Parts: sequence; C-alpha cells; structure tokens
Amino acid sequence: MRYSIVILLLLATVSYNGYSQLRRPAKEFNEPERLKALEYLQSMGTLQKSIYWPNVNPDRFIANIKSNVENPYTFSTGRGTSFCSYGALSYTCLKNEPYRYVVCMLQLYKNGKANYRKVMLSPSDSVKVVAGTIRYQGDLDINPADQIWFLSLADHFKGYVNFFNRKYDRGDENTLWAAANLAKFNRMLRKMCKYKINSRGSDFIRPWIGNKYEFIKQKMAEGEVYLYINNAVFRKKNHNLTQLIVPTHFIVLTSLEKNEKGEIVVKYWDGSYKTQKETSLKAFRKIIYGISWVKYQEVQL
Amino acid sequence: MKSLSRILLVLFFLAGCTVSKVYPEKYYSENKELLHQTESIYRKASAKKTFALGFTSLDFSSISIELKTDTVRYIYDFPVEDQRMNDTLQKLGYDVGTIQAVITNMKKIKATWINTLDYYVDGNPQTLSFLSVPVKQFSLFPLMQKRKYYIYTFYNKLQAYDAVGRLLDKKNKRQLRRVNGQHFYRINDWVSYTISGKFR
Repeated sequence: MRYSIVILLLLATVSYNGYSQLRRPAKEFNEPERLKALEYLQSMGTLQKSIYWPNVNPDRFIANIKSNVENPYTFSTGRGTSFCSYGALSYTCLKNEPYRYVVCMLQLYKNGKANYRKVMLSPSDSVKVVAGTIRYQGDLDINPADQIWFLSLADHFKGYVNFFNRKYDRGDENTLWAAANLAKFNRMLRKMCKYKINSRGSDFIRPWIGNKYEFIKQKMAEGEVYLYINNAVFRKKNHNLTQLIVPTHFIVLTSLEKNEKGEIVVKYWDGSYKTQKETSLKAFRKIIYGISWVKYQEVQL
Repeated sequence: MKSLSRILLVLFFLAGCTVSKVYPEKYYSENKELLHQTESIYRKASAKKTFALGFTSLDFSSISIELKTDTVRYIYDFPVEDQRMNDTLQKLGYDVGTIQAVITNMKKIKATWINTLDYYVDGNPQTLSFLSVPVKQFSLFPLMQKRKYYIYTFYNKLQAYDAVGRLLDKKNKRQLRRVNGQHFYRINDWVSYTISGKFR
C-alpha cells in the first residue's frame, strides 16, 4: 500500500513535469533565435560533402538553409507534392525555433540522422539517394535542404493514410506515401514542437461548430491556427459539377476578416506564398474539415 | 421488375460515359494564331508583374485572377463584367488594358486558364506559359462527367523530344520532362501539349 502511494505520487510528478514542459509559440517571429541561427551557420564555414547524401551539394545545402532562416516564409513545398502538412509544420519551426532547425539540419547532413527534440529523423537509404534529385517541382528543384527535410519528415511520421505505401520509391513525394491525416498532423506538431495542440474536426466529417468564423477568429486571437481544408472546392482545378468531399490540404492561417460584402477574407500560408483569398461564408463553412490550434505564450509584463 | 433493374443498370453504366472529341493538335492548328497572340500578350504583361487568369465557370461568366507581389499572392473571383476587377488591378499597379486583352482572347479561344510556371535547367530558372482549353464533351449525366482539358505549354527556348514526340529533359536526354506532374507531347519545337483532368 505504501509503495503504491509512492508510485502514484511519482507518476503524478512525472505527468505534472511533462505538462509544464509543454511549449507555446510566440506571437511574433523569434528574432534572437534567428540571429543565433545565422551566426551558427556562419561559424560552420564550409561543409564537407556528406557520404549519406550523395546528390546534395554542401554549398547549395548551406545556401538553402540560410535562405530559409533569412526569409522563413518563402520555402517551397513543391508544385505537386503531398508535402503541405510538413510545410505547415516547418512554418512554425522556422518562426519559433530557427536555431533548433539549423542544428538539426546540419546534423542530418553530416551524420545521416538527427534529433529534433526527441524525434529521431533517420531516413531510409532510398530517401537519401533521391534527396537532391527531385525535379519538376518549381523552386523545390534547386533547394536540396528542403528536399532532405520534407523527405525525412515524411519517412519518419506515418498515419493510416500511409498504410498501403510505407516504403519510399522515387516519385512517392507526390503520392500517399507523403500524405497526412489530421491526427498525424497534430501528432507531428506535438512531437516536434512539444505543443499542447487542440483540435476539432476529422478526416471525413466537418466539425460541428455553430459559427466557424467566430470560433476560428477567437482561436487566432489566442494562438497559431492550422486548417485542414478541401482545396478542390476552395481553389478549383476542374469544372466538374461534383467535387471530392474530403479534405486535401493543410494551411497555416495568418489572418481572417470579413469585408464590406460580408465575404470572408482568408490570409494563409501554404508553401512558398502568403496568399489572400476572398470566399463566401457558405464556401468557408464547407471547406473546413479540421481546425488545430496552439495558444501563444503569455506575455510577461 | 427485372427489366427495370436492367434499365437502371444500363443507365448506371451510361452515366460514366462521356463522348469527347480529343484532337489537341487539330485544335492547335485551327487556333494557332490566336493561341500565340494570347500567349505573347500574356508573357509580355506577366514579365512586368506576375499574374494568372482563369475562368471558374464554363460559360465564361466568372473569372479568377491571381496577382503575385514579392510577398503575397492575391486571389480574387469576379463576375467578368464587374468593374471592381479593373479597380483592383489598377490599385495593385497592373496594366488593365493588357489584362483585358488577354481575357478577350481567352474567351475567343475558350481557354480557361493561363499562367507562368518556373522550371530549372542546370539550376538556371526558365519560364513557360501554361494555357488550358476544355475539351468539347457530351454526357447524358453531366453530374457524373469528368472534365478533360488540352494543356498547351509555350517555351521561349527550343525543346527536345524523343522519337515518339515526348518532351524530354534538356539536361538528361533519357528522362522525360514533367510539367505539373504530367508528360507532354510535341506540337513543334516551342509548343507541347497534354490532356489533363485539371485545368491548372
């Protein structure tokens, strides 16, 4: 009995400590860390060519990371890839902890594996051979570090959508191998960034929220908000009368307003661009399948 | 009862049937002049300030414009005759007259999308113009119909093709080039085509 009480107390302490270590993103960009990351990159000098990444030129690798730290919202997830969820994850990594990102990337390049917090990124040999050679994806073609980063994340994190294609083959960046479902996306944010992620919605049924606009607006005032949307409806790619009724795309919401016509003005980031699009309230309700959010740090006065 | 179920079965199969006239090369040769004129006006205008244009309805009554600045991409949907479109273009510093000329030409050739895509050869950036035109289709059940589009890509440099006319990577001549995830076929050294289920 006495031992049970001790164990219970111990468990309670562990779980309390675990909770207290959860992180929250800042509202603004982490400028001190950004400068630290750039200084660290500068101090590295020139890199030797890695034996783990045969097709990645070290100079281009460093230039790519530097560009990501200098202009964090301009990295590209490619034109037709399934990397949007990793793009949304990278957005918050680069905004809040660019130094950790840089250290992880350099480790990954030098050692072929690296830790990002407790996540051990140890990509398969097939990923290592292909990284640096992905082509016909726009700006991703010339950014080998981004290829390494996205492929490594996709190789590590798996959800049920990856069940039938778990092993990477060339070209799989465009297939279900790289896809993510809502639970997987939330898990990635929890593990990589140690966020206490809250989420509403699912992969097939839209969340039952009375006033989605007000709900999301409120969450945006408190923290970072990510949406899992049906992009086939939001940004049409064909004129078919019937469209898919499943979510297909992850975005980071940066602003949400109503204009004078009562339309919703959505500002979001989804890979290389900050985009602003107007949409009707009805369409806005229709496209949203998942809402994930994490509260900002409380500002100490 | 049995015959009713047969009729339903036949109707079900017919629902998936769409009659399409798929002649991308014929369409190109019939509309060659207008296609090139549209692309040329568009290329000149978008070289100054990048933009993309698309019709979101097949009756060409509503238009979607993408205006790209250095930091933000603005996407607006307007009815074609809406004056607010011109006001918005003017506000963001676009040449309204040129964009209206592209829109007029697109309506004439029934094109639903035009934009610029970046691609890289030996790490050097190149651009191509991407223009899509819906294929004429007939379906008994339009609700089930899957649209098809002719996609034409216009280059400002000579392109390489293999023996059967497939677009090749310029650097690695054994590799087929993909644009928007698709293989393309030869019209001539400067223009290639494919048929796609997506217009952009």
